[in-house]
Amino acid sequence: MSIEVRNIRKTFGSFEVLRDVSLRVEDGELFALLGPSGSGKTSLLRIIAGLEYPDSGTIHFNEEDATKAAARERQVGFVFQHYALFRHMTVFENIAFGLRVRPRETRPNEHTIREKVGKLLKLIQLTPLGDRFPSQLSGGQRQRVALARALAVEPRVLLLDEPFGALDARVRKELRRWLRNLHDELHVASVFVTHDQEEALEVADRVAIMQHGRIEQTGAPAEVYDSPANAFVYGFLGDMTLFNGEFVRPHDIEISRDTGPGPTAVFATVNFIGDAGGLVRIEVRREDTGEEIQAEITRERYRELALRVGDYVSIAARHSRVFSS
Amino acid sequence: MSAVGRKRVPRTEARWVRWVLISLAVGLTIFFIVLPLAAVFIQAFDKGWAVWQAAVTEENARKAIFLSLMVTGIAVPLNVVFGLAAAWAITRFQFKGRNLLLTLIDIPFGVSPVVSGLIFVLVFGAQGWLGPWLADRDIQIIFAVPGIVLATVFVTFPFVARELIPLMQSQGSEEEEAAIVLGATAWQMFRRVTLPNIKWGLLYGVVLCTARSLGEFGAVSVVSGHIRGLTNTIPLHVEILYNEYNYTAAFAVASLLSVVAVVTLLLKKVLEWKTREART
Amino acid sequence: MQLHFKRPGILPGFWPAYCYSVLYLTLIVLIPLSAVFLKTATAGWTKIWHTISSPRVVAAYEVSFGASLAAALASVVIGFVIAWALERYEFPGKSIVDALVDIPFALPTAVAGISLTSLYAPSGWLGRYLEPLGIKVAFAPLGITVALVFIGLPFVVRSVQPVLEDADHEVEEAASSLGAGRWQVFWRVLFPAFRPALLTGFALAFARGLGEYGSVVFISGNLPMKTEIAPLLIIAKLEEYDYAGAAAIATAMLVASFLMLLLINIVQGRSRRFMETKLS
Repeated sequence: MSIEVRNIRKTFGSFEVLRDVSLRVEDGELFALLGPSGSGKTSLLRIIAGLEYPDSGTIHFNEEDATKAAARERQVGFVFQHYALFRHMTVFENIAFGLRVRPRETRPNEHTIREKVGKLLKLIQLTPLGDRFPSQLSGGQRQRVALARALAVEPRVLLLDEPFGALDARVRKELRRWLRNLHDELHVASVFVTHDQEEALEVADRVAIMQHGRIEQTGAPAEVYDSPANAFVYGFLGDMTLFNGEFVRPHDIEISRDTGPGPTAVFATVNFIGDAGGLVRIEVRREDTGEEIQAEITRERYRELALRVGDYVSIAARHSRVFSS
Repeated sequence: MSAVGRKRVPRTEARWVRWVLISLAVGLTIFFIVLPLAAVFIQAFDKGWAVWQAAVTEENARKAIFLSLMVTGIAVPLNVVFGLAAAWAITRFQFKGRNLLLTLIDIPFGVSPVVSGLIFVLVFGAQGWLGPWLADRDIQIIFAVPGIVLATVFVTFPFVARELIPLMQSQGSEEEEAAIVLGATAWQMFRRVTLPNIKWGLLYGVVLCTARSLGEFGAVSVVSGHIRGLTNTIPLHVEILYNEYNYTAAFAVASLLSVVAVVTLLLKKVLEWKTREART
Repeated sequence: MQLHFKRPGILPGFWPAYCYSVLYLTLIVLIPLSAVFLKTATAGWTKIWHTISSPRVVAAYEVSFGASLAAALASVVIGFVIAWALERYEFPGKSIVDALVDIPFALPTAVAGISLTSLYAPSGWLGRYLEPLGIKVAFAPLGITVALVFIGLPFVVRSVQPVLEDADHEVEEAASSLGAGRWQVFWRVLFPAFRPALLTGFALAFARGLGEYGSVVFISGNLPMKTEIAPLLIIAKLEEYDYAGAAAIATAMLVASFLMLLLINIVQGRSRRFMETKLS
């Protein structure tokens, strides 16, 4: 099912959380709302879920106006940032909750519930832990239970608020690969909120980058990374450094030992070398302006150049960008 | 109560200082708190079991016990409903006047019991606002059971709300939101998510409210009129017996209230432990 | 015309919960309480002044104020020792002592009153030893103070305990490592951190003492001009059907206890800022 958000505005007191936000998520798409904290991404997600009401604007599910529909009528699956598992219920009962609270006419019988929850437990690879309570699970396990609970009601749309926010780095990476695979399997329109650009670019089909309650740019990961709409998007999606008044990615700064005179040559001294990691981080200071510039070069190139702090080098930018402010 | 997870406390005081302070603390607790409590039981059974039994089963005592239970039976449910409603509104929504409501709930804690009774006399008494109107219709509130109920409700008003508000605040509303998104109705959400999460705190609020309404003296004393067998609650009956120099009977009836107090504290310990367990 | 209610959240039940809470609060607390002030106001200033400045009333205020002050001070000292031992030392029976501290909260005031009186009366267990020494407790101002210490102790202990528990032991250890003696560490490092909690406990005990009735009326002896407390005078005025007089005395008491509550809030606000500056 497709989701369309049209001209949403929302204020809390005097603070404008969302300023005229519009976006469209296609059926079967995995969509990321990316932005720093306070950019309004979580509010937008909660408005789509019906957990908050917009001051103005409309929400459409499959072209049908759902703005006035209550949360329980929207049939959305929502995964809360801190999972919001029912602490007094077992994992099994947590997942079964959405089925048990259905009106009597549509409520499945106990056998069907058991079968369905069993399937979901298998899907999240927690079959043996059905009788545990949430407090007895690890963060990653709770996250999966929260997802299974949301899926149990066969939502038309799946919404995830910072799904990996509370997990440590290793579990995060595992789970996001898993979420991508799961989404490919279920193929239900999903929107997730994140402040981690790597996560958004790796997992999502399309990304919307938000700042101060506005969407700055929407597009496929490669699209927004390669042709960012403005300096904010450029800076948010990767490191950047300023060179000749233009924005450059550090890995697009070229360093060479060739310090002969030339019309475009810029000379600099090496200030700092950070050589732990896949790329070597070099900080140089321009001779003429005194500006500090960040560069990243491969390990081979680093060995080739045999750089040391204090060395005299020339630098150039492969690609750079100018944004009108 | 367990030593597990307890913070390390630097113990640099000399051994004798520690010893003196512990002895002082225990001694002062015994002197100021345990002694008065023990005195109740000792004097209640001073003249033996039979005298005690006679004192607590005598007709006026029975009537006082019945009245106290009835008043409690009305006051506690009223304050439970209020406590739930107030805690729900305050902890789950943002609205203007939220802090004011929070402050107003505490008022009865700061009012002298005697004043708590007085206010109802001023409203419903013979010379009160509604006095003449009520007299015309032959409705008696002051010096009658309704006045006792009102005074008790006022005095025990904040107990349930005060227990629930911090508890529900700390739990947050995400679980309830999850229930609603999963399709639960308001009642299903309350019954299956909210209530199980707050049950121990709620129960403790009920226990406190019950103990206090059984034992309230000052406020009830003002509105009751002390009509024996009619408007005497347990504490008022104790007062009458005591003022008649019938000390043993007074302490016998008082011992019932003391048992309620001790049970309340035991339940408090158990429920505190349960709440802590439920939170982790 | 369309009325637009901005919903304060998506969870159900805000309006019923809010409206019920406000209605119930208004009916049970606000309207009756306003009766005191209105009754006072309608009585006229001369009448009010005449009432609250009559020698018997002034004497009662003095007794109430003096005994509450003395009792609150004593409670602070005793309560601090108990809280200190409970939070800093391990000793057998510690959790029992901790539970016993709540007894005065739970025990009905009338029961405490008759029990304390029986202990301190000239023929009582303690009174019979104090009498020959020339110390008169029951039916004297000292008796009122003893009863109010019983009532006030838990307020101090329960205010101080959390602060002692949260105390940053590293600060203490740092002070010791800088060469401060045990006594210096206590006065210069620990005590300033406890001061707001002690003040809160003091204010709570004092405010409660001003209004206390049940535990005091028995032990005080109620001698006009000597051991008569302010709440008792309200009852005396009511018995004379002098509602306006009773209301005037009550208003003075309410104003005093609200001022105390205000003080508590200011103290707590200041200590919160103190903690915040400590953290930042």
